[in-house]
Amino acid sequence: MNRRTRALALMLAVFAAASLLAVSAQPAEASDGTMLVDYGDGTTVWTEAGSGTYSEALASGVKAAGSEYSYSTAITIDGLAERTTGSVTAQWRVYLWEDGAWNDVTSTIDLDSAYSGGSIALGFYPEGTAPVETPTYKSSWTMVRGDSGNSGSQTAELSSGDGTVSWAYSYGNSNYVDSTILIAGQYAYVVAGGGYTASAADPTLYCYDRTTGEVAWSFSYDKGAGYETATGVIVGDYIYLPATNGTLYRIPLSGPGDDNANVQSLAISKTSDHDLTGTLYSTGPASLVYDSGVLYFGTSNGYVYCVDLDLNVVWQTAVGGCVYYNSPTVYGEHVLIGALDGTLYAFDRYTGSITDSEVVYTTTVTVGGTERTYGGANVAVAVGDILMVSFSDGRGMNSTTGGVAGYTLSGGTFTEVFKNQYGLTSTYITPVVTDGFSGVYCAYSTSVIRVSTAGVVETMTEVSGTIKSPITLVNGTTLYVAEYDRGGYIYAIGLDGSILGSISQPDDVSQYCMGPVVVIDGMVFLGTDGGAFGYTGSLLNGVVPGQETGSGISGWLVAGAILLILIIAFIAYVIHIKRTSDMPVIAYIRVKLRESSGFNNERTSKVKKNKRRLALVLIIGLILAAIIFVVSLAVGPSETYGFTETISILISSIQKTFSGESLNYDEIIVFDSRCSRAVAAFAVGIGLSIAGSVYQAIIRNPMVDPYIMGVSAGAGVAAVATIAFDFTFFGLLSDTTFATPIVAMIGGVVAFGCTMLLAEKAGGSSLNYVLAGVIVGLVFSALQTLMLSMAGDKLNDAMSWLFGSFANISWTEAILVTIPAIAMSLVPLVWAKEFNLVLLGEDQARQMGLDVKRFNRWMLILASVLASVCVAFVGIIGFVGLVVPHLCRMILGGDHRLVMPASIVVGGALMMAADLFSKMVMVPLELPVGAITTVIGAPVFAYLLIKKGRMYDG
Amino acid sequence: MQGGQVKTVVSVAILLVGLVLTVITVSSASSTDSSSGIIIDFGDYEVSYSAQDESLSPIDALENACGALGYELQTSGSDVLSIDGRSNTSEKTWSLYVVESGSTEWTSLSSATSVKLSDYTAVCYGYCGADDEPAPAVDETGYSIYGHDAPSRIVSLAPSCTETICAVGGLDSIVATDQYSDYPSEVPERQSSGEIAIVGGFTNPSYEKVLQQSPDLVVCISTQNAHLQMAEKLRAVGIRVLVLDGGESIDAVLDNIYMTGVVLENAEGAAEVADTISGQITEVSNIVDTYDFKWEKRVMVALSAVQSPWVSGSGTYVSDVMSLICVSNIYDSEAGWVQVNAETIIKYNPEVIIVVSSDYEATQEDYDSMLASMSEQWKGTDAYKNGNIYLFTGEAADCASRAGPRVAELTELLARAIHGEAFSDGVVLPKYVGDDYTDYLTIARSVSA
Repeated sequence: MNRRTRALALMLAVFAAASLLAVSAQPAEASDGTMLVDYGDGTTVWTEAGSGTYSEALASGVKAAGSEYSYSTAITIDGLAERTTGSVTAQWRVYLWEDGAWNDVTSTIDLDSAYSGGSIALGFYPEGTAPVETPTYKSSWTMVRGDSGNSGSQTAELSSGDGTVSWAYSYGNSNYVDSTILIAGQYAYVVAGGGYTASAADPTLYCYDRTTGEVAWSFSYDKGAGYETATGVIVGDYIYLPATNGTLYRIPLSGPGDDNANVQSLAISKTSDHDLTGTLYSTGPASLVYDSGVLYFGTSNGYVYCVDLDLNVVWQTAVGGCVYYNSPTVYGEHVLIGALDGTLYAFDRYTGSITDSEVVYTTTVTVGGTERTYGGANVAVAVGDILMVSFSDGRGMNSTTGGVAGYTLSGGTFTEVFKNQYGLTSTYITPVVTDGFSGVYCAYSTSVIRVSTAGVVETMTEVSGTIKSPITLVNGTTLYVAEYDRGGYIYAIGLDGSILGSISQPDDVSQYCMGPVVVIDGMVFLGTDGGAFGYTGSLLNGVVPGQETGSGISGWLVAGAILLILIIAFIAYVIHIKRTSDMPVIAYIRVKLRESSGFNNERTSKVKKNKRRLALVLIIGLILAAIIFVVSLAVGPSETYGFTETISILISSIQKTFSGESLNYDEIIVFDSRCSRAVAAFAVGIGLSIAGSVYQAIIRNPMVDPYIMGVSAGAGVAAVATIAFDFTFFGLLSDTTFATPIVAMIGGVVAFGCTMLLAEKAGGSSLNYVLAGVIVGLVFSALQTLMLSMAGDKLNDAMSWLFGSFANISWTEAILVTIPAIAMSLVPLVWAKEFNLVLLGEDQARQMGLDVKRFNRWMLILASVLASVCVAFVGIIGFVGLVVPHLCRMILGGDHRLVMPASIVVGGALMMAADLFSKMVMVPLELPVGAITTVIGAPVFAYLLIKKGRMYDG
Repeated sequence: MQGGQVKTVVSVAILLVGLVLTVITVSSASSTDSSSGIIIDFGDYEVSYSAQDESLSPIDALENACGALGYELQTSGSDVLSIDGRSNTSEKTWSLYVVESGSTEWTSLSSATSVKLSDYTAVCYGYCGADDEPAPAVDETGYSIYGHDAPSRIVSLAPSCTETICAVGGLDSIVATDQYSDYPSEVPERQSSGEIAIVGGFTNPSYEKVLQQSPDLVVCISTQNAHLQMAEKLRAVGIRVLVLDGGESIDAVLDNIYMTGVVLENAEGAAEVADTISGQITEVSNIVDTYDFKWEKRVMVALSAVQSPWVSGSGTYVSDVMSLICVSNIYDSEAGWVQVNAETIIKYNPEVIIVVSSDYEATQEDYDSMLASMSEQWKGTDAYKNGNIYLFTGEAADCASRAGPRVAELTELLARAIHGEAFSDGVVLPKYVGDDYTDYLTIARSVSA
């Protein structure tokens, strides 16, 4: 009799029993006579104990579970009374459910005494270990494929719920959940891989409440050299966790304790002392399985271990290849494991001696003249008497060939039944036995296929995306599988290939997914490269792909609708008002608008008029800026988000940034990539506009822009020198990543210094400044051109800096430019009145008590530093500084108390809009923003010039 | 002036607050790698790496590594005498090299006792001569290339990077490239079928587009500012980046191939590729060297046929190749690509002119119109008079302008153009070559692992 067949038969039987139960009544928690048979290998059956003596009650329960029970001196089930591996002896132990825990009564109970009801368990465990399933939580998923046979099968009550997200955790874009989520009792255990770059977080084991997602505890450990793809085991009161740092941890299910005091560990060497062929990894222990009191696992340095529950090594045997995340399979008296030398090994489960090894698949690849041998035997599963094993060329995720082979194992020796090579197959294959079929189901590209024990391959169904996740079989009838790509679906599929239901993954967690779907009574769990989540419901009524309603657009629609309603209300109001006057509607509105806006209103005082104008410009400008800001965040070359979605992503990313969590994909796009750019663009727009206003006011010349003092030329020379000739102030700045901006800023200030020196020597008048600035600017421009002509292959770099772009802005740069630019832009606002005086002419200003020369000098210095800061990080962006002040003056007149605040909003909004265009016009190219500013700003300027030019004198 | 003073105080206050805020918000978060393994370099890209506990001293780590890798190790104190049968000689000795955090260069370390692996980005025992260095262990920005899993989703930001990745067998892992990557031919095929996405231009890639690919490795070059900034931003969000040497020399190309191979877990294959390439280059230069020339030929490589063209000076990729095949670049005195005065062309009187430009098609018609458009200075050269002006266009132009694994092909192509008579196999290079340039090569073959 074969264990696997029996287990499958059991499952079917239990499913029948479970469905009967489900029909009859809601099973009461810990109802009388509830009995657990725990086979000590991950296979469990819940049944009903009989009546009479304990022994009779147990016999009846075991029989209902489909096994044979006998008792003389010890309990024997299916002919097995005890099993000793090393010094560990597992035997059938009796547990009574008392005070919310399994109480081991094996040594005290008199099995011939009367059984008085209550929950009882029979478990094949060593002394001191109890089953993890309890009358309250009757299902669990305690190892990578659920049991030591890697069957990937589970009994679970399937509900017809639609699959609503109960909880979802996003750990950030490179913080992958690659191992199987384990479930025991009330909790789900999820390993977030941390990502192994230097800046990434450490891998962490989270213990979540499986229904609410509340974090009970977490355990962080050192990152190793790879993805945390290996899955641990839950036995008794502990979770055993393999880590790529070369450690096997044992953590109590109650938590690691303060300073991880309760965690024990076993170091697993990552270096090998024997020759290994095939692909090599340095990931330490691979996935574990538990069986009869001991843990089995392979390691990347080519060993297979048997370890007891206290982490003592029972045996350790060398194999010829690296064992990556594959788990061993316990098969009768043998342990089987596939290694990356392409070989499947069989060990005596007690001694670890290799009874046979069979090369399943190797391929020779010629690399530049040298031949290298690759291979990969994956995980064997038992289907009746046939062992089926998937194989590949073992070249990691780059594998291109593979298939499934079948063997028998008799007397410890393999005999090949068939070998079918057809293409890349999933590592884990799922055994299925029904009336008409016996074989395995597995994923192949976008299909679910099945391979019979005779080697016949059939395609069962095709889904829309690639599948890399192992298939989970529930109740022997329903397959669960997840698509690999971001935005992929989870499917429930019948054995005949019919799709019973599907659902998309939650937005913020959806990412590449290679882990199995874990189905536990009424809930579905999955980990992805973006995080982990739990659904309530079994997807059987889930959403069919392509039929969900988009939620993204509605936000925009709502905003639009509100605006429309406001406009209609306004019109209605106006029509109502109109009845009381005798003017035509349009004329009435025009008069009213003019009155209230402060334009062309003869009746109000000048001051009041101006204030109204400013209010109007500020309100429109701010609304415009806010709209452009949100659109900048929502629209980009990669993803487009809805209005509400954008706002919620922004809020969540800000919260996460402050709490130090890492961001998920959408948050990186919106916050790191787009928000930093928009903020920097806004600040640079403000800075350049204010600098332009200051210069124009002091120099009293309309053609002046922020670069008139030679700032841009000076910064340009310095930047080109840094970029093309590695000029770093004689090594002073060679270590900093901000060499270019810092040198550029210094260059700008130096150029202004030259200008000022020259101008002051010449008398220090405004005209002196302009002339000096022009000369200095020309000299620096010439130097810059000379350097460019010698820049050679660095020309491109230098030019793209000179063109100006926000493409390379990250938050660090954004902050470095934003805070100084805004601080310096606020200062001229304080002095707005003095600027008005300056406009009156020096003599008059002096009469009003202003030290014009001193004032001018300080303001010029301020504006020049401001312009330098703006230029330093984003390069030379023309037009904004020249035109925005003019625009504002045309609208608002010459009063700087109005022009300067208006310049701030208009300049900021214009720059953000230009940046948006620069990244969107030719996706995925980043165009120079300076050119875009001019292209979109010039028509506006031209229009205003035509309308207002006659009355406008700069 | 009371009001003025208040305003001054307010202004200064605003500026100070701004300054303080800036300093506070920009924390100097410098993230660098630390070594968690030991490298044993036998020279010629024969390198072994073994992951070791990072708290070990280099010599302890070496002992463990030799145990694990099966090398026989002989030491005297902390000095290494011999590893795997290769003993110190007068020419080559075993010594300890480290890369300091933040640096990209090997430094030789005399004492190996009081330090541990994690003090450095890379630690290596190298079997090197006095002027040699071990093979690179960190990329151009000082990040270690060892100790990670092979990537499966690669984004390449430069055509030369794409070629290098493909040369070491990474084609199937490429999920996106820049706009200009078009070699090997599978790349444009996959681009048009949508299997490979495009993330922007060479100088202006889009950060968002790169992120969208969810890469686990991005490969770019150090001479592009945009690439360096991209690398920094990607690393900040936990994406691994390999910054290759953008320097245009054969050594840089070979180092790039090796580094890419290590990162793609195919170091041996990459070493073979590098070895094959340098073997082919040597073969070509041997043919040229053994042919009895009276003098080094005077050659000019120009990017167009206008009167005063941009030409290759010294220190460019093309000039590095030319230096191996008995050629005197007439503009060796200049550095990099420079625009030169037309008078100097006739003064230096090149015997062979090579025009590298994709403005023309590889047809007789285009070639003739190019010759016809040349100014008198060009027409006065020996090259023109003797009909020794060659036009490299299309693929041939790409091959000449991308410092990548096609370097051996470029070497043979240039050798055949300049020293056609030295080749005894009867293949004659036409005056204009385009996409079919490989038809005229017999020694250099594109190699891949």
